[in-house]
Amino acid sequence: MDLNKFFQSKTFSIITWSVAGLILVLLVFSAGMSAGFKKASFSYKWGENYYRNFAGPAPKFPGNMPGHDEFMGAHGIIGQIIKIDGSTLVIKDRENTEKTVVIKEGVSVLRRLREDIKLTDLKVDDFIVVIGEPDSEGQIEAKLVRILPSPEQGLMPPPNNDNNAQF
Amino acid sequence: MGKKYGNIEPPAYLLDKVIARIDREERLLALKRRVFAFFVAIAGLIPALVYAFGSARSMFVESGFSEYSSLIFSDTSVVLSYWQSFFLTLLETFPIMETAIFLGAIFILLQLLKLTAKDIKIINNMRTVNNQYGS
Repeated sequence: MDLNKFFQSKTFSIITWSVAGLILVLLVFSAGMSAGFKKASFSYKWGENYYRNFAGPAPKFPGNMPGHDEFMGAHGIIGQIIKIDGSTLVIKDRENTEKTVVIKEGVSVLRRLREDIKLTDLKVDDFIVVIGEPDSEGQIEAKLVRILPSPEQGLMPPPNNDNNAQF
Repeated sequence: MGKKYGNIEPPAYLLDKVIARIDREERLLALKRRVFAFFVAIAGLIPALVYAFGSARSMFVESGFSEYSSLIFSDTSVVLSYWQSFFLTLLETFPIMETAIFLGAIFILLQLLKLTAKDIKIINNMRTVNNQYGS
């Protein structure tokens, strides 16, 4: 096969310009994320400092709030169940950030391997993946909860234990 | 001997032919240097490409993208029902910059290969012309 012919062919042009187009899309997406992050960060800090700026100091919650340096995923979480309180789960993810997941009967689908399970089948220390919708209270309303093999079984990187948990 | 060949005049086109040959040789040399530079660039780019691939691959695992995307196969019907949440989850975890860097390296590599192949073809053609017409 004449390589030069292939490199001058239309197919090769389509491949290379598709790659270039994909790069452009990713960069535009990244720029959008960055602009969104700046706006969200400003709004967050504005809200955080509202009382201080306009009505004197407000009581401050101890510890670092997540979201200062990067976005948190709002539509899903992968991590370990550290608390089960009724239909609410507290999950610690790989960045040791704790998120609350709300299970709604009739909406949330809970699965282990190929079988559907119930909320009562979930246990503390289970590793789960959740897909859902963020609500107005900063919780994730679960649509799908799937129990994963634990990190010790090698199918998932273990959580990062270098940092303290964030609240 | 000197007297025997003393009256021979060089052909009128000889100077043009010599100049043309020198010009061809200079262009050939420049092309060879360019091809060498392309080979060096390709040799340097391949380890960078491997590194970028490894980095993107590990970010796909670390961000959870691979676990989320595997749900397509294990929970297809649920994923399709809640495709918007699923799609947004994938977008949130997609390692954009690592993928862009990897694709950028691939794009540069493809362009370098294309230019190298083109130059090699020109070099071969020029060599053929030189061999046909001699010095």
